[in-house]
Amino acid sequence: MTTIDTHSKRQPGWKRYAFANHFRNAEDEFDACKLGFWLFLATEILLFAGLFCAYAMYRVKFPEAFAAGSHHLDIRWGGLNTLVLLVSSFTVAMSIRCAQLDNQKWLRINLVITILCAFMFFFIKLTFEYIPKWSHGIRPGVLYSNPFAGHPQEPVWWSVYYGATGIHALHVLIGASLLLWCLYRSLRYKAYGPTHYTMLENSGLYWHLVDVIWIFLFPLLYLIH
Amino acid sequence: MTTIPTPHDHGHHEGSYLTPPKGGFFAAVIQWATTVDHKKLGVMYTVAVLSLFMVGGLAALLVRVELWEPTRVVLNEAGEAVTTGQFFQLGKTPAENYTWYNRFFTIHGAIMVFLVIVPGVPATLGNFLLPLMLGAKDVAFPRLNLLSWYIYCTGALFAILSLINTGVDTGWTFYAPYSSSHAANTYNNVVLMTTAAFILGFSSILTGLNFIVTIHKLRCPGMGWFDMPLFVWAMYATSIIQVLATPVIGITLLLLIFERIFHVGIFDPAMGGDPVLFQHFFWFYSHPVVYVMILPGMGIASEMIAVHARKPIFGYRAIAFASLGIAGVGFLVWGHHMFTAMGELASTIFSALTFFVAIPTAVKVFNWIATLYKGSIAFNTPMLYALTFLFLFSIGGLTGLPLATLATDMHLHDSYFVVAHFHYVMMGGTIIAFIGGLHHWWPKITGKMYTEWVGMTGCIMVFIGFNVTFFTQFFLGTQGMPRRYASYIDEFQTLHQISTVGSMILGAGMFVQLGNFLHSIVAGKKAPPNPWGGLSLEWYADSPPSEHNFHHEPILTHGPYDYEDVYPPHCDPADFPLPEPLPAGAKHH
Amino acid sequence: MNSLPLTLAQDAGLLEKLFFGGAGASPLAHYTDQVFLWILYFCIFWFVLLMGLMFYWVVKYRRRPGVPPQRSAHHNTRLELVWTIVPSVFLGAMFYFGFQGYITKLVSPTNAEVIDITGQKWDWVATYKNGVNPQEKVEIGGNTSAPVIIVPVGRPVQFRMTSIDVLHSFWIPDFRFKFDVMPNRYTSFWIEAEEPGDHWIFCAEYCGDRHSEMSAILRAVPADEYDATLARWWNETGALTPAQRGQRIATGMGGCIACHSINGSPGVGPTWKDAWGVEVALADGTKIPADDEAAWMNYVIESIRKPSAQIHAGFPSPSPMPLYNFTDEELGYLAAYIKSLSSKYAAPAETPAETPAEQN
Repeated sequence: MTTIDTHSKRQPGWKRYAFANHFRNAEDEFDACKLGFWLFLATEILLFAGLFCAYAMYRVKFPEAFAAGSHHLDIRWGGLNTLVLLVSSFTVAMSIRCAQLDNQKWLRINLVITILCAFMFFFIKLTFEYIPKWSHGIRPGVLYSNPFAGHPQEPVWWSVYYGATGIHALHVLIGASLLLWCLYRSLRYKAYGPTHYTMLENSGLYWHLVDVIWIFLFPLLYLIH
Repeated sequence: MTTIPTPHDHGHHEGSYLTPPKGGFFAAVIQWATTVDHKKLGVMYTVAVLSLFMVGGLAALLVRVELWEPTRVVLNEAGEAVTTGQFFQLGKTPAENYTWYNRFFTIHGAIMVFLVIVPGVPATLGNFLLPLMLGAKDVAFPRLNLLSWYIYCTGALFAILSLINTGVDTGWTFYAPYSSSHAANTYNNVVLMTTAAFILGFSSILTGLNFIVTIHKLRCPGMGWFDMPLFVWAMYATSIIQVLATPVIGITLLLLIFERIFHVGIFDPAMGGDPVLFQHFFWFYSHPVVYVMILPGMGIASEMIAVHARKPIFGYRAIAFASLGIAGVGFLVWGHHMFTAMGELASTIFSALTFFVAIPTAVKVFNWIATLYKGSIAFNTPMLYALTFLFLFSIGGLTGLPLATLATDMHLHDSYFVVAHFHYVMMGGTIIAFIGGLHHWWPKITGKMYTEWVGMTGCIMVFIGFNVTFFTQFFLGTQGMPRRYASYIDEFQTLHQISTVGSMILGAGMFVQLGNFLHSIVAGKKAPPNPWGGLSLEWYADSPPSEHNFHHEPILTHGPYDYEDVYPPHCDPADFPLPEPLPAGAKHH
Repeated sequence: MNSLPLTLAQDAGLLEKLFFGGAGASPLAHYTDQVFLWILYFCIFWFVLLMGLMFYWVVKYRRRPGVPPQRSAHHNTRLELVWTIVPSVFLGAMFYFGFQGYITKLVSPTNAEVIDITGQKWDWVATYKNGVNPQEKVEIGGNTSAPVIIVPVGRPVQFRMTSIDVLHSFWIPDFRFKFDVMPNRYTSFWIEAEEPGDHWIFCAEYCGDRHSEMSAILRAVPADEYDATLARWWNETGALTPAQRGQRIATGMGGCIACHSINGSPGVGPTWKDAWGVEVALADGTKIPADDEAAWMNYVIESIRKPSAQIHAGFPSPSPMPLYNFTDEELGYLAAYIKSLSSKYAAPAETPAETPAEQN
């Protein structure tokens, strides 16, 4: 790995990549980046753990409010979004596999599918869930103005719902931006190949995390009545 | 004896990291503002942290001045009722003056916790020393390091904005529902301040993550886990806590901001929320963070005591494992901040767990003192600080016992006893170790020596002032003085006045130290690479270190504390004599 | 009480005086002092031992030119085990005695007399077993007045506490106990006074501007005097009119008059002076008609229950008013009080003001 041709412009980006000089070699750098990223993912999980704790507390405290609130969620849209995310998780894994095999074309196709899925998820969430609910006054906390609340504490359920899915949606956007950046670098420099795909792998890990969190959110929010 | 190359082994000289670039002042500013060098970042953090420490300290002095006299309504000569004894006259009514007092103690607490003590040692000395001690060129992710510096600056900016915009009067703990629905005219400020703490959390997470990876991946050849200096072990334990606990405060503060803006009803009991849940969330982070604050102080103390006593640390492994033990058990004891708010079962469990965390802490103190046995103990400013640390931290630790004991805590909770206890730990422990560490590594960081007698004088002033200020507060607490009071009953006045006098001595001592540092930068003598005879790798580098720390990658051949067997680098062996070598085949112990 | 393992001293020793300013006011407070002092002896022992060794070695092994450090063990497993296990045993004992004292003070005897304590910014209101909450105050130190809460000597008294706004904490230093007072939840602990006398009560959980003035006097009085006082209060307050009761809520535990003036001056919320029965424009354009008794009753009560539901034009939305958990009865009293402040309806409000004197 240390014999990298850093001068020839014709070489694809992944072959030209030189590791940062405070590492001893590229493997060390790759391991360090992966360790660092796993630690970062741990912090993300802990961030959501706080939300899940709040969810558990209030579900125990106001079970009827949660049942009443969950009743308003359409399992079909939630299920479709779950499917969308599962597909995208598969394609992002495939794009990493393609990088390892130096199949640049399918690497990009897979990335594009993943990114499209991300936006589809976001589109479904916004158009079929957030906007109709918000316009019917189904909002968190004091903003709640729907006259047909099923339970006095239903606004608390909506606070938890909007808080959890809102922060998750933010993560979907962040993940999609990371993957867009990878796609740009792949198109421009052929940046990822068998010996160097750190950024792509870490973005992929992030995307899996987004998926896994949704896998927990979906039953907790949609499937409790 | 050693194959570690020293700067004098070879001819070529590159500039130190402090050498200004060609191109004048602006080039230097740009170089510093865009640097990814852990040393420059460490220095910038030090300047920021010390400046904010001064702001927080001045707020504390103002708080002490307000407490010189209780607020009273008396009749003046014309027979009108007038309010006396209020130092803060910024409001229109006595109640508004109280609000100003509340803002000032919040400023003091929030700045000291979120901007000074939590990032304090890891971001300053940790950044500067960790790669040097490991024999590395830099931390694992230098650009991430620069990013965390700017995140820190952004957080500080938000905090300062909220202070300029008349400040926050919630206390640094932001307890709901006061912070979410009641705090006086601070609708935006509470949001600003909590956003600041939220942002600072990211800086803290990224620094911790960077350190963990650095320690795992960038130890120099020959350095196993148990060849690392104890400061590095302390940083490792600290970083684990930072990474695992900070996200929880992140989500907590986020929910608090939602609560404040949208009144979502998660913490506000008026809407079905639970304020005790906020306390659980808050302390699940803020208690482990107490160890983020103290563990680096312990690491610094280990280094200072070993170097200046010229002895291997007694029970090295015990101290290293105690750090990890404290980090682990530290996650399980947050409930002891809420003995007066929880049910019996939870309180009992948390009380028992709290005693467990006392044990590794005590083990460390025993080990430090045993290290002094049969040493060759230098008497200089860093050592004086190390002894001050042992003295004050022991008091801080021991006074934790009546607070962990349920029956006595129900009396002492939220009283001045608690205030005194955590100042003995946080200031007497962390800040004293930090200032001592600054003296200890000052020659390495700046390449200049400070004036020894001034340093000693400052340390003695701080020691006296600190004890007068805070030992008094133990008595105030046991006698019934609650914390966060702008006024008090007449019986407490004498003790409050003693405490205020002490705080002035303490403040003066701090300014003596500051003057000493500034004088040293301007007119200090040039420092040798290894003024104290230290053995860990940072003492092999130049003073100040070169751009890439070492001229060759070092290869470790001895432990960090082999003072009985190895001559220190860059030193005259006659100044640091060794005891007779052990006969061949004999083992240590 | 026999389950408590330590001997109980009735007179304060030197250290107890130094730390607590005197002996505690109940057997359980003596017990707390004993536990505290016992921990203190333990701390002093270790502190003196450690600091003694430290100073002795620092002087004895001070650096001398040319003299090397001496070799000694780098660790000693037996010693390290000893100094880990021996203090641990003592810590275990501390936990046990602490738990005993805590649980005894928290779980009250079933025959205890219940006094309801309501914390609010920045006052304590006690409601006694016969339902009276006299809100009697004494001057303290010539500046502010503090509410007096009376308890009988020699009878266990349980405090059942809640808050109507933020967190407070009910601390009686002489009884060495406190417990947090929270909105929407009840907490409790109990005491038993040994002697008649006055004791301070402080709020120990930060609650805003005048947190430091949220103190009260706990007055222990002989049991017969306690019963007589309760009976006297009952006679004095049992015959109040609804408007007078509303006034007590508004000025006392409701704290309404902090934002709603009763003399017409502007405040955070609309003034109550001459408000009732006058046409009001709401922020959403609708109007509350004048002199429509039912509409006014609905408007006032809804505005207390859901402050943001109907915003008075010119006032902030959402309303900064906190939510209160008033009972239906209390809401009625408040409405009666607001109505009595309106000069249109002045005549009926004045007559009953004299009734307590007639009935006594």
